[in-house]
Parts: sequence; structure tokens; C-alpha cells
Amino acid sequence: MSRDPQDPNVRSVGASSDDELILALRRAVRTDLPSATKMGQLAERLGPMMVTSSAAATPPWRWIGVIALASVFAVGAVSLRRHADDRDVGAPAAQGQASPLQNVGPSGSSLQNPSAADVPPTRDERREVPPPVVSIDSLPTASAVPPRARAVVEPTCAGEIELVERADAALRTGDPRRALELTREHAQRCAEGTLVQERERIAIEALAQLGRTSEVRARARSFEKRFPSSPHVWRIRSLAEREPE
Amino acid sequence: MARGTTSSPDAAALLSLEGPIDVATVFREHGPFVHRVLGRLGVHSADVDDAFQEVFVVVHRRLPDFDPDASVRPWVYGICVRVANRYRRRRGASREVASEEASEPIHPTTPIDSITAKQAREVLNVILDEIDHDKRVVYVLHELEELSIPEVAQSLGCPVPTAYSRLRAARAAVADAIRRYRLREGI
Repeated sequence: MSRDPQDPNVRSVGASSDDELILALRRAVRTDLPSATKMGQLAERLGPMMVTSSAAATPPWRWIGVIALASVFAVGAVSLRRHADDRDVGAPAAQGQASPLQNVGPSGSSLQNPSAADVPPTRDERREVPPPVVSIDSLPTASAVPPRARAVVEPTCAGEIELVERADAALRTGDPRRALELTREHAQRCAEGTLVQERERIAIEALAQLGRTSEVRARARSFEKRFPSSPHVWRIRSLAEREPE
Repeated sequence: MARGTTSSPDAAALLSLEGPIDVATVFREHGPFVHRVLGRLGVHSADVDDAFQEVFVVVHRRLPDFDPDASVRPWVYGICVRVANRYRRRRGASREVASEEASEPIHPTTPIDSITAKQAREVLNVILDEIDHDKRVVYVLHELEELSIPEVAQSLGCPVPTAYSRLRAARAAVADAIRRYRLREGI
């Protein structure tokens, strides 16, 4: 307390009106935020989600496709470049243009860039290309390029999202038995679904709420083995550890 | 005061964001506020870190569907409200928070401008625990977190007039609660 409570110009808590007190309380908590250390600890807990920030927003299975496709583009672009070099030795090579690899983007525009377009990929010429390179015919067309990474996740199992949402809603409304039933249904119907991690998280939470400790632990161990970098790991681990209470 | 616009500590940074928003960005811009608001919404202090993590799990899951033209702040606060509700239900009565966190009342001779953040937080928790939860949420989002009423409505998924009427009721409830608190504590 840096101010003198006896100073008549200083309004004390006891002498203030209710409104003044409320305002003072609100003022006092206005900048009341967790410390940087605390935020660092919390960031650590979110580890898997924070490691690659933009990648984290995209489901991993999408990246597998994107990487595979990018590899195909890269090989294809190298092939085209080599092809062009073989044919046009001595000709000015793609003035001022970047490498075809640099032009490979999510929209697949590299296939339409001038350096690639300058190389007419006739079948006869392709026969002259050494066998290890990928044929242009094997490259996907622009229309075959996958949607942007931020597109809505498409489930591999019909009604999967609704099923998992229903299970989650049952859990949230305090009906762990129903939640568990729905996760079983999901396991049967969508064994290879895209929301398996979600389902397991809900099932483990439901088991924890039902006090089925040994099942929580077994399932938590199995989850962690199967999905070690899942964002749910921490939560599931804490449920397994907390259960004896 | 212009609420929830560029006056908020994080809004200016958000307005300058370019490209897709990711979890790390949401964490950086909103993380401290998420942590704070969970406590204010009645999540038990022992659960706040878990609830915080759950908020970001939801953010992570929902981010691919998030409209990049929409405002992040009310969206994140909306998630906080739902996660906080879930944690409160798990803990049972919200009064548990007050009973655990209440401590020494502020001395009546304390200059009003010298109330510490800790004291204010404790008193506010006691007061907020006494009011109806729906009112608490609106009061916290608008009066403490300084969201505009349209943002509050967006967070709660309710019409703007409903948010306004809840705010009026919340202010009256807080006024009653502070009166009772002062009588009880003699301040």
C-alpha cells in the first residue's frame, strides 16, 4: 500500500460506494494475466500442436498426401528440366525464371509455368528420356491437385463426424454410458475412420467418469503408444494418473 | 470505450495478421486471455490448466473450418465458455470455487486505488460465484474481458438483444452480490 490511508483525499474501500468498489476491482484485474513462465509451461503442454504452427492446423493424413504429391511434382519438374536441357543445349535457358522446383505450389501451377510449357512433351521425345525419370503422363493434372489444406476434413466413414459429435455431446451432458456406447458404435462402423483419436479421447473420458480405472489406464497406454504425438496425449495421461481419486 | 476493437490488447496484433491463422498464433495472441477467462468463468483453479489445454485442442480441431474472415476473439471465447461449462459441471456446484479461493477480505481502510490484482480477483470470484451462471458469463465477457456486446452474442451464439438483456440482469445481480459481500465482510 503506497498511499496513506489517513489522507482525506484518498478514498478508502470502506468509504467507497458499491459502484466505485466494483470499478476499482475491475481496474485492478484488468492486467491480471498469467506470467510468461506460466505461458511457457502451457505452451509445453500443447507441444504437438505448437511444434509446426501452420502444419498443426492441418490433419496429418492430409500432409502425407501433400508431401507425396509434392515429391511427384518435384521429380516431374526435374524430369522436364533435364528433358529441356537435353534438347536445347546452347539455347538461352528459361531467361530470368526460377527453378521449376521453386514454382511448385499447392495449386499445381508448376505444370503450367513457362519453363515447363516450353517443352513440348511429345511421346516420341519421351521415349528418348532415360527410364528412371517419371513420365509426364504420370503427373497429376491441375484438377487432380488436392484441395487447400484448410479445406473441411472429409471423413472416410459416412456419418463419422455426427457420430463422434453425438458421443462428445453425451459426455458433455453427463451421460458417459451413452458416450461409451457411441464410441463402440464408431469403433465398429469406422474402424479406420479419421476421428479415431477423438473417439478414443471420448471413450477414455467416459470410462474415467464411470470410475473404470483399470480400463482407463489400459486404454490410455494403448492410445499413447498408437498416437504418441496426439494433442490429446496430455489430457489422457492426466486422466489415467488422476483416476485413483 | 471502444470494446473489442483496436483498444483490446490483442486486437491490433490480430488486425495485422496475414495468411492463415494457426494454433501457435491463437496461443500467442489469445493464450493469456484464455487462461484468465477460464478462471473467471468459474473453472476450479486446479482445473484451469487442463481446461486451457482442452480449449486449444478444440481450437486445433476446429481451425480448418474457421472462416478466415471472421473475428478470432469471440470464436475463441465461445470455445472457452463451452469448455468452462463442461468443467464446472464436472466439479459440481460453482460455489466450490469461491469456498476454495476466498481469502482475507480487503481491509476497509485500504485506499481504493491500492487494491491488488490478487485481492480483486478473489473478491470478484466470490461475487461472481453468487450470481446465475448465464449472467456471470455475459458479465465476465463484457465487463471484465471487454468484448463488445455483438462479440458476446457471437461467442454465446445468442441474439444481440438477448446478450444486452442478460448484461442488464448481470449488472443488477453483481450490484446485489457486492452489497451482500460488503455487509458480510464489514467493508
